[in-house]
Amino acid sequence: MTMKSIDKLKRLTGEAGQPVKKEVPAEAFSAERQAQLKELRLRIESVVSRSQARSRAALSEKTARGNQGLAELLEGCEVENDEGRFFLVSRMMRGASPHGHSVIQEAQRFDMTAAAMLANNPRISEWSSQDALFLDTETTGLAGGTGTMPFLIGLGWFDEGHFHVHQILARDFGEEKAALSYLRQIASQRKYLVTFNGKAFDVNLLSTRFILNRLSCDLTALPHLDLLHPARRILGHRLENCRLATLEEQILGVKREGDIPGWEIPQRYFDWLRRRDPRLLVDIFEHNRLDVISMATLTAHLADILTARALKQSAHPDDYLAAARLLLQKTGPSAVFKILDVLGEEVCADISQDSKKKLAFLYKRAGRIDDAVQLWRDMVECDPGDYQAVSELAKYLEHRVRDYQAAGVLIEKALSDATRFSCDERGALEYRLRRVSSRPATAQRR
Amino acid sequence: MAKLSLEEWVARLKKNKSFTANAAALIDIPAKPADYDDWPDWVNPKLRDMLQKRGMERLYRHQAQAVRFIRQGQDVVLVTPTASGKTLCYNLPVLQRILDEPETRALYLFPTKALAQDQMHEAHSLITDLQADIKTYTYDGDTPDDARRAIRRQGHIVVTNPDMLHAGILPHHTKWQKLFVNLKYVVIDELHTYRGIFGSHFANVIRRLVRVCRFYGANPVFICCSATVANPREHAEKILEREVALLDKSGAPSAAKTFVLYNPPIVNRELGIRQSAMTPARKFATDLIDNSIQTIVFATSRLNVEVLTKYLKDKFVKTKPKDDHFVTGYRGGYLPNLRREIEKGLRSREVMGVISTNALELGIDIGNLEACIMTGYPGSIASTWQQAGRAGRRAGRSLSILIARSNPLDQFIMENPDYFFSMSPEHCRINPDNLLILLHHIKSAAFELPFEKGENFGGENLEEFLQYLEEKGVLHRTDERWHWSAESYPADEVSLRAINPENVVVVDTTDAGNHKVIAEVDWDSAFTAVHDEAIYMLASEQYHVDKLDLTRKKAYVRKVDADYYTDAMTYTNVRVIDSFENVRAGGAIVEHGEVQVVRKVVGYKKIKFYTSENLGYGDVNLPEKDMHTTSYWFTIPRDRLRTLDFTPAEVIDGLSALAYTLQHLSAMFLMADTHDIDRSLGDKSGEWFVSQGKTGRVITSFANGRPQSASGPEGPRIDEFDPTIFIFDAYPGGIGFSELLYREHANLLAAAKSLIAKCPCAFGCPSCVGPTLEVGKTAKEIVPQMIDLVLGKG
Repeated sequence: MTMKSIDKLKRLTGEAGQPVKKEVPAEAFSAERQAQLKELRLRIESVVSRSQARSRAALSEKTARGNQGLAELLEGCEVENDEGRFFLVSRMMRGASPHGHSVIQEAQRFDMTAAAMLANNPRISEWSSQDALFLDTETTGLAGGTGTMPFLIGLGWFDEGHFHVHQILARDFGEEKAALSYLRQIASQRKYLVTFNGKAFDVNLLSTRFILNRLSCDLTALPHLDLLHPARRILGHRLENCRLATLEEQILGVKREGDIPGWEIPQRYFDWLRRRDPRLLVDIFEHNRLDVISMATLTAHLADILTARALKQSAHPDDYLAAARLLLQKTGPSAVFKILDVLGEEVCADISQDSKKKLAFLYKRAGRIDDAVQLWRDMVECDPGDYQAVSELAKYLEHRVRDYQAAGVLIEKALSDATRFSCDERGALEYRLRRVSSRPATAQRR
Repeated sequence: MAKLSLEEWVARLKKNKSFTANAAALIDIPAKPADYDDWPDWVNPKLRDMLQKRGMERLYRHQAQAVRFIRQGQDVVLVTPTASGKTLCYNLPVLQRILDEPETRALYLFPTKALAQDQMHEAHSLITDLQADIKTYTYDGDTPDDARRAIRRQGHIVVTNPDMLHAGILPHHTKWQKLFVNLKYVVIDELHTYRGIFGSHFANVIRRLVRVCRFYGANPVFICCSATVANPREHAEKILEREVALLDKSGAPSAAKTFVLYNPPIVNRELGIRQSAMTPARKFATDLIDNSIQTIVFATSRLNVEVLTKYLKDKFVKTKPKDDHFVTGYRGGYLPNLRREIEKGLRSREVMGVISTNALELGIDIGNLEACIMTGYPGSIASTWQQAGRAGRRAGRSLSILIARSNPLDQFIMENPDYFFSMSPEHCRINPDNLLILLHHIKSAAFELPFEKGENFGGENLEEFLQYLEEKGVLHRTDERWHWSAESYPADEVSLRAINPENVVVVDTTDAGNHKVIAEVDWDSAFTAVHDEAIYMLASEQYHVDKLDLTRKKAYVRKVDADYYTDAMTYTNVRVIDSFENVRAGGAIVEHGEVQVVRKVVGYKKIKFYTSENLGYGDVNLPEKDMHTTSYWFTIPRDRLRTLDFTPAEVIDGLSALAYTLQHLSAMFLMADTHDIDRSLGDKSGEWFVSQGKTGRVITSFANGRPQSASGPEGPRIDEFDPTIFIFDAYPGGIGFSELLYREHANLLAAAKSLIAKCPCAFGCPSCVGPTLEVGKTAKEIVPQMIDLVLGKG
């Protein structure tokens, strides 16, 4: 009797110890003994198959109990569609409910032009905040690839001032197709997606799963606002990292208590598959639900900064500067006037020399040179050694106003007052000084 | 002095008496004319015109036949020599099909990135001339991320390597939907390189590829190309698991070639020592390069490449002091940029001499070299012809010289030139159902697509494996399907090329402020090449290894100018785990089965350059390496050995000598690489084993759980164990050699006896029982008596 391959394998992997003595070949026995052996084998087989049937029954009972417990704990229900069954938890957050610094009905009023700008997709400006589908998945791993399954799909949308969250759970691999089919149905009722890192991760993964389940659905074709990139542009300058949890804590004012760390989630789901203990999944549902709601308030927060609705408590002047730079780059000078106005009101007391420098630069780029000059003057007053302010102001005096004398005086003063210019900076200033000094005091403007 | 042409050089060589005295054979292979066939009428006129403009007026007969077969959807394996135009055999039907149906996709697989680059350029230049909108790209680890998306969607011909297919493409097949849905052709070039462990992995990658294709409803035609091996069709069918048509009659013309088998003279008849193969290699190469004949020298090891490069550089430094690349080394550890530079230099003839390991054996484009010198038999007939093929790829006479070393295999070739010239080359052997390899790929396949009940994968019972993986928690069964249910990415857990995918980087600390990585060494070689105190040689510079840091995977070296190099000493200890079959034959018990092999590097020798004098020893303290594999072995009971009229020390030496002979002959019997098998002498329990120490043979006993010398004051004893000779597969899990050897046991021993009887040496030499310094002066006398004992004729 040859050894089973799997036992050999276990030895190769070092799992099994020394082999036991081999069985004596059956040929060595008499015919009578062989018949006895055969009967014995049949008896063993029937016992084994009965116990297998029992364990299958036990398994299906365990599954049923787990599903029932889940429904009770999470107040969800089983849904059946053409592709099978899955588990759904639907909740509604009333308009007046707070989420961090924000309130749902306020969050719903985000500006669509700003949203389109954040997504870099002008089509979005044609729609409303109610057309957005907020999406976040929980998966069996972070490695990506075909072997990673999004087992929980959290969806959110605004409707009549309230926020709805639907969470689709595949309680087992076999329920994935029905779950995806439901996602497809919901997605078909909305116009665009809002995610956090969904371009690189969630949508990519879902597309893979649609293909694997032979379902047609191209989520990638939907206009998509991925909040990660604009959040990094606008808020990243003052955060240690740009994870959603960090944004919640530092920006949105959302406090999570007893939140499950992301890395624990895959193993929880694998444990659920084996043990069917519904308590394993409760934290994951809550984690996912908060993610979806935070995406909605984050969208509103970013749009508010872009449209400079008002200086928010939770925002920093530099956020507006970063937003203005983003707008300037994407749409041109006129779009940033409003932000600059709002910032101008705040100026100059609270913002740093560095922020002023950025703001002055933005004024210059936006064609509002007088505002820029005003700022440069402020800056030179605060710090006569600020090379950029001195040199920008000197340039302005030399090339625009053509007041060479004033330019000369400015540079001379800076060179005598300040000691911290680098060699190059000092050289550049001295060069400019020689040039303006060699010209008549004021030029005739033609 | 006027320079000689190769014709003149060969003519002069034939008149040289000291050469002819040592030439075991000199064969002039005549040129062969071309055999043409007509263009098939379905070939797109644009395509035909383009090829005709490139000088392909007509197709060679084998090309015409190949494209017809492929057109009909027949899977093929093409076996034709280098430069016989085999790339056209696949490029033509692929391009034709893309012209017919622009959605068509083709996947080209090459064993190395360098070859893939070469072939992408070739296909690209055809397409440029064709002025067609066909896109071809390489896809490998170096492909930038932003280019990958475009390649996945638009690439008509994607050129990649098996490692990338395994870890980068198949686990992300949904991103490649467009390619898989339209995949019509899969080209596998250099099929013969997929043998042994690499081939066994590769066959599984193909299983996975076919499985993914099936998911997308694709059933591509497989086009394989191979160098000349004994079993191309069988090999292709084993890899593809389907019937394949064989095309092996080349219609291409070939140039005249002179092939010399050269056996260096015996310098010490007493000890049976021949001149080192390196000496004539250096002389021939110097003289050829002096005559402006571009020459490639193949050496059998990394170390020999470096030693020879140093010798030749020393020689030419006087005439070409500034030209660092006039002669140069080339091997796997060199960084890619340097390698590209050398390849370019060879094509432009700025590099006139290159000394290489078998890294240059495959079809990397290095232009037409004129002469090839092989320092030592490359281990297989197929490799020998491949290496010889690097000289004279297209036209004119070429020269190949094979210089023998003093080992039984090389000497056998010299003694029997007819065997070499008439024998069909080696078989490619793989074992795709090696359990460890299969397990890895079942995991990877489950990650790619869930397994369904009733599905097959490999030759073992799939469901057993699936259940095993389910128990491990890696798979989860739902109804009739097994789904991947772990966070890991299984393709990253295994490298196709070696069991251990780790590398050690070599860091040059000569300039304290500027540490530089100068090379990489694979994990297994690191133990022998860059252990503490070793001399590591790279581009003929010597570096002293100050520290090998295994946890950080770094070896810190500094440049030195030493007059010696180091050679590591290892011991091998084998323990039987399971005997699959056994038989009492004559005076021995012969078995094959599964064993555990423990190896350890224990020290090194310092060897002086040029004189090869032994300058001393050093100790090395590195962990053991442990491997399970399959082995053939036989045990001679100690009381039987006592009947021989020799001292115990002589008996032990004799057994070692017998093992030496058997290992080399086994390689011949199996028609395998000598590196694929290894030997050991000990007992079945692994408690006793014999190794070569600093001062002679020592027996080590593990009786108290610790290794200790079991040699008493009178020398080794053999009254405490039954000596066993193991000849084992050098790969974990084995690739099926041992059962073959078990069946050939009697023939193997008879051949050993005859080899020893025919050997002209007095007391034994490296060509029969091993060097007398290692096996003692009585080995040649005792081994035939032992063989009689084993065969039951004593």
